[in-house]
Amino acid sequence: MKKSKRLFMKSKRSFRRRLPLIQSGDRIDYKSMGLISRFISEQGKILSRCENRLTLKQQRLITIAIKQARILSSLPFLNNEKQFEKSESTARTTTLRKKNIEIKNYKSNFELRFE
Amino acid sequence: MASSSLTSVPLSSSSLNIPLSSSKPSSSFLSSPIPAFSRTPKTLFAESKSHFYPKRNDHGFSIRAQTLDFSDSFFEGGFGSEDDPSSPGGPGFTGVEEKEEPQCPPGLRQYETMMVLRPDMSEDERLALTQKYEEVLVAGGGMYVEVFNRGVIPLAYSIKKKNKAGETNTYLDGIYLLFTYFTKPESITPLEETMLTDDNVIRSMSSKIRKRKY
Repeated sequence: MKKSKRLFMKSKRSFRRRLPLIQSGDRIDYKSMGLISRFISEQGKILSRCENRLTLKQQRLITIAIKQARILSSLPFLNNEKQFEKSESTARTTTLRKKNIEIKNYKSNFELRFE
Repeated sequence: MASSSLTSVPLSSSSLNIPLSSSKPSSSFLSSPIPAFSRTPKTLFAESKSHFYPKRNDHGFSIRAQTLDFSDSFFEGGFGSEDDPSSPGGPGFTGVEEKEEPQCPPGLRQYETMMVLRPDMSEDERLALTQKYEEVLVAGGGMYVEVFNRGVIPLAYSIKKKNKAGETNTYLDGIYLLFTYFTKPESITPLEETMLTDDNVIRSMSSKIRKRKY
């Protein structure tokens, strides 16, 4: 009984289809920012075809449109927000290392005084 | 949500196809866009369909497709507020309507040029620049020149530009101007040279308009 239900559920899942991101009449152009901005990441990179779930032709046209929009300064080449976060995290690790070095120096000073 | 919106569109198209066929005279056709703007946005979509309907006798899908393409292409200005794209939608409707009418003359191709102007230009200076480039296009053999002004849009990254006088300015905003025209392929190069020489043009790009469905 349960096995047959599970099989039925699996068969349901395998036949699901997601709606295509590009409708049949959308014109892929550097002027249509609402359409293009769906296919770039937070940093401003162009997403891959697997993530976009596009055909080869659509992906090629979207890539061309995104690059044209970047030239005209409608889209950024690179969004710097995440880079700042990364630099902050590296700064934290360096400060931790500095603190460790200071602790060692303090111990050595104490030993000298004791002698 | 997407499925409900998709189902709502064909209902309105099926109901509005009957009066559209009855209203084929050009006088009523010209008068129809005026009440369209005063009505709800759904009727705006319906009215935009009426413009495309007499030229294409294909399936209903192509008509709906045209409206989808239409609405998406003019959402460039505002993302959050819905009131902003409605005001540039006005000239956009008339622009696209005019675009469909002229057919390509023999020997010419359809091109579009997007140029970004300095944000501190006044209205008169921008009009003078527009007329200057229209004359350049017509001198090069261009026909059916149309200009779309998309207003001042903040740039995604700042652009440094050096003047003829040697001054360097960093621009954070720009006035986006779109020219659509038919011209010979040989006249694009002098146009681009003129745009590069001009101090008021921050950046520009010319491309051929493709006739594919995407």
